[in-house]
Amino acid sequence: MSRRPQDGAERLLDLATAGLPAHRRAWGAAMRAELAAIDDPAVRRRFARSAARAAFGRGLGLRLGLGLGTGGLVAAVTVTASRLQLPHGGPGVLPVTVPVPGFLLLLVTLLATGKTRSLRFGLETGILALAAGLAALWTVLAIEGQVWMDRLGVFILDADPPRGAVDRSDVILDLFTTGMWVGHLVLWVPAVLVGATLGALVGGQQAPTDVQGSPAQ
Amino acid sequence: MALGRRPSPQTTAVILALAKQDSSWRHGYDLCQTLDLKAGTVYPILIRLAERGLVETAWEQAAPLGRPPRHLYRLSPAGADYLAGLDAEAGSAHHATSRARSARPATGAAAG
Repeated sequence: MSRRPQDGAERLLDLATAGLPAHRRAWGAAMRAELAAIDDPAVRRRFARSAARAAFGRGLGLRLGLGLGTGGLVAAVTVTASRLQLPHGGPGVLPVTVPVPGFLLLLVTLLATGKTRSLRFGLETGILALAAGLAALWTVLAIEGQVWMDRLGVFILDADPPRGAVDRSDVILDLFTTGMWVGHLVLWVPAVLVGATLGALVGGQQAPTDVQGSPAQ
Repeated sequence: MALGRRPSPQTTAVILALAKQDSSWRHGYDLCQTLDLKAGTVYPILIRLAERGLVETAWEQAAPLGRPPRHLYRLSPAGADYLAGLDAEAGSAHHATSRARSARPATGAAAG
């Protein structure tokens, strides 16, 4: 059996169709088989580029929806935690903003992986949700942090008073300290990885739902 | 199952191309060439049509040595019904337009 040596077009399409959701996996195989039947290198490149875009684009709405939805939820959780503590002071929002979004990320990644039976899809969704969650968290904390400093004279994350006089920029810069990064990411990143792993385990036990047909008659 | 709304011109073109050769199977790349559309346009359409039962899919039975079997497509009976529905819709729209035109006054100088 003679087989064409792998070229850039084939590598691109292999990459784009690797880890497609289960119900689309056969379509990835269909596009790769079609590419294998094309000989002209320029036509192969065009076909692979266009098909790769189609493969990447599938499920983009779901990824974006889940990712941005998680960001919205993280923002809502943070605002709620801040506003509930603000009237009487409290330990700061850190005990809420670390575990609750972490749990949300685990849930979203598990759902995305399990539903599509694609580890890649789940991880991409989880990473997007993590990025959206961090952006939402920083935005809310930057705004609410000013309110905490004005009313209670403490930082919003841990309710610590400042050592000296602080201005608005100090309140925002406090959010970017190493403790803030590590404190959140140390739980959020594993949450995404655990969610994807659990989703793959749960999804892997479901029956395949491919729609692809029988041999041609 | 119907698409729910009027299909895009590209979707209609794919359905018509599949309808032209009745029960014979077509390849994806062959459709791209016939319609002068990119794979990134044709494949999402084929996926959608197949998922809605308007297109039947199958794998090539006798693939040449050295390459995998290709995926084949043809219009399903539901797809043929859907196309007939589109034709009827287009026909009645055309009929309504013709009737409206013929009902207009012969002189176009009503305003004024």
